[in-house]
Amino acid sequence: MIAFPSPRHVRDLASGTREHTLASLALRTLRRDLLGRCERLRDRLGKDTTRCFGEFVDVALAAGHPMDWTLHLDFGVFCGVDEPHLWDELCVAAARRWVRSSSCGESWLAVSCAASPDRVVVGLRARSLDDGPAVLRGSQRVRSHLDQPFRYQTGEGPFTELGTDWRPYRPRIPRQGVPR
Amino acid sequence: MLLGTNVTSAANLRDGERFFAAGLVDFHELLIDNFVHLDPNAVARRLADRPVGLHIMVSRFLDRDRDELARLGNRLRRFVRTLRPIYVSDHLGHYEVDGRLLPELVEVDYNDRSLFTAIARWQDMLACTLLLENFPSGSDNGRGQVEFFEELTRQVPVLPLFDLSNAVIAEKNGGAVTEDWLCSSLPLSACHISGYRTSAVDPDLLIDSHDCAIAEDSWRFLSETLSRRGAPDTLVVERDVQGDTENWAADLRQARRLCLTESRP
Repeated sequence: MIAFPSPRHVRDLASGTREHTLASLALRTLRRDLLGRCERLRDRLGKDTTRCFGEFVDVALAAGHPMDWTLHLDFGVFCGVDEPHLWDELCVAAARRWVRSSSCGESWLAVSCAASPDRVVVGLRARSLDDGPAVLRGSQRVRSHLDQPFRYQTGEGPFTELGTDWRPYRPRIPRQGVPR
Repeated sequence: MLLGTNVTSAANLRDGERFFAAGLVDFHELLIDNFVHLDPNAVARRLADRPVGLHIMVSRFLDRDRDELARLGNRLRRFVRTLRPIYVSDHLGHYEVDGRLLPELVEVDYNDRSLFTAIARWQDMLACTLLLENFPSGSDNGRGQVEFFEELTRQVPVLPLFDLSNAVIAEKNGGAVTEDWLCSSLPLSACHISGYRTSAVDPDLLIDSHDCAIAEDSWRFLSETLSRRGAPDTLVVERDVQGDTENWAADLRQARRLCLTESRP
């Protein structure tokens, strides 16, 4: 039976078994996806990110998280991130994950967070066979303060400018906080 | 026999075009997920008249609901109509469980024959013959893979996309043995081959990495396949890292040489 490789479950598996190896590998892939490009967040979390990552994934699974691109946003909340530059890094990683996992008609995603409301990150899928995927950082004029921690929008066709149809993203996981 | 390379991005399209201009390859295999949001006519114009195969990675056809899959199927059909590919192939595996995106593609349970219905439905949505890639099994859970493909192809008019290095990986990891593929009644006419490496977690586990030269045992298995089954219609030499163009070209030359010299007449 197929199951998401929960860190709690992996700890219960006998070390050295193939089941343990495969589940550990899958979790390494997820950890690389989550933290691989977040150097400043890794610095903030300290040397051993394994425990923090494991606790987060167990909580995320218990909360029914879809484990999609929004995982980065929830990870930031879980870790108690409040520095704008770390949120910028997490939004970039989230947009990159969206770009990599999308397979339908939408061609871009823009995401912004309340910690730095004038900043926006846009993930662009390939614009042609010659113009590969990209993640852009930009600024936006904010007329009112966001009433949600995160908001995002997606679009089809070439990205030209942001629209007004922002959708809120409510974190699914409560703040736990990681000691500085 | 047509030899090709995979195109996942602008960077390796440039490599593929250099190989095409140098006569090293005959076609490009587009990882269509990365381009499916584009206008297929623009893609066709860009590729001129060069032959293409369409390879699907994340359709999630075993996991998605019917409406979502139908939308993707509509888009893909436009590409099929416009590009008239040599083949359309997909991966047989699970990307999601209970609505959650898995970190990696997970091998199906080959005892689950209800998968045939989902495969037939996806092929109907694509409105063309679907090729399904064999899995680089990570454990003995993959032992029933050859029998599954044999029964599948008897009941549903799909074909295998035979990845030779995946078959080698699977055997070394405890899955189906390579000999069973060659002894089977399955047509092995569309093939892949690529590099693999040992996993960072367990040196006894091989993973399909696409980031290095093709291993000696994969070359040996290609030779064996050629001598017993003849040259395939297509063979794609896959590489997913940038800046390795010379090694990739060397693998292409070796693949061409073997297909010319080792194939059963």
